Amino acid sequence: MKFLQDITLGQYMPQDSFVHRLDPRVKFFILLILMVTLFFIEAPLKFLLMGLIVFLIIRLSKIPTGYVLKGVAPFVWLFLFAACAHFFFTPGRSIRPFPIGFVNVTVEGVVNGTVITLRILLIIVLSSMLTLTTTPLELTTALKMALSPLKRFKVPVNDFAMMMMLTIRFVPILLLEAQRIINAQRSRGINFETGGLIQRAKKLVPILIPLFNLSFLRADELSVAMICRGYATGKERTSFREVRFSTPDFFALAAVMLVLPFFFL
Amino acid sequence: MKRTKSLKIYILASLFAALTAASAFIKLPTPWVPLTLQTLLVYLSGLLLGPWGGAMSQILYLLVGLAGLPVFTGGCGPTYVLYPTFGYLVGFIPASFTAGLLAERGGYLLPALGTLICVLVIYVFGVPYLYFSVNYLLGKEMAFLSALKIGFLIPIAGDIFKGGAALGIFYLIRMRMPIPISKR
Repeated sequence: MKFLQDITLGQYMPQDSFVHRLDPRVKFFILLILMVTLFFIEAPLKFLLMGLIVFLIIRLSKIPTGYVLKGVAPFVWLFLFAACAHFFFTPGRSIRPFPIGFVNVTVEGVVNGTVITLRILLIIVLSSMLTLTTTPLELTTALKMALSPLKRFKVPVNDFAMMMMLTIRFVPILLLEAQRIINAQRSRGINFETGGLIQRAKKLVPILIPLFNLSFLRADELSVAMICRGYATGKERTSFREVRFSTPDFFALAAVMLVLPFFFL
Repeated sequence: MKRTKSLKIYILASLFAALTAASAFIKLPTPWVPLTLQTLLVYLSGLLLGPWGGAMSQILYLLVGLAGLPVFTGGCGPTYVLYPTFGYLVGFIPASFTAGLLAERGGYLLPALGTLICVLVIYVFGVPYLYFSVNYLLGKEMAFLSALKIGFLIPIAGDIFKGGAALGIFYLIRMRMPIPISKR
């Protein structure tokens, strides 16, 4: 189980660029606008315009285009599924030499499949740009502010932001703990790669029980430490990490607002 | 003292969200499809943390994954809502809540019933989302029976097995400390 080496925490790629310096709330807002707009466009020219916008965002962020496209790889099966479903199952005018037997490819199918695939591709690249140019902690701040209207429904929004940051910090710690426990049990003779299904399941107990006990101890220690340092649940606090709306944010928002009408003409 | 307890629930919820994230990468090598421990942790978060703690941990898991940490199997970031399997992740929240609600009442039968309902609730959210996302998001027709077969009948056996495993672990832990564990 060499999963520790496989996991790369976060997608953030640090660069000194215009996009990186934008307020995370502005980036989040722009992403939502562009994604919603994508669901309303069908014409090739509008797809071309949106593609140019996405390409401009990539260039401004100074992240290599190849790296962005690599992030699309896990979704390839989704593209293939969507495209093939449309190519082969949409009724309409056949493209020669089809139909061959029960296999048929239609003009309408190719058009629909292409539209769907382009739409999904652009949505994926846009949201990849958000996670590539914004740290998870910055996104947590943006989410906290996006969720702040829920305070009137007594949702503990401030504490949720704290919890999200704790979760982000805990993931690598727990992976390390799990790896340590696995190695310790291996050194005492447990072989995790042998045995039938039930045998393998039983071998999870020596991993999970110590992991849970360590987690509970850590929760105890952390809650006492936080209270000793003056933390109080549900209270408003100042923030060491401030986010400010500034001139580049205004320019970015203005640019998006200026270009939006072209998609709805 | 009340303040300490609520903070402890929050920290435990964060820990279980992180455990759920970590467990998505622990794969049991089986001769057939590889099983991850992810849903095992979903059941346990409800059983051990109670209804609200469990639901909170799964909400956190969802938020952290959507914020870009690669904690979902097969992807991460806001685009994960496009995945036909995203409905299962949403189902983790009410599933965890349900398990916690029944496990809180003690005994041996109610936690078992809670775990079974927990397993089924995930599919109640997952299969319709699979159906609708294929039909409307991808824009292609799929019969609901096909969604039911792909999204429910095929994976249900593994999940029932994991439910049993979670239940066994729950009983073992309960012998050693009060449940929900935030009460200790």
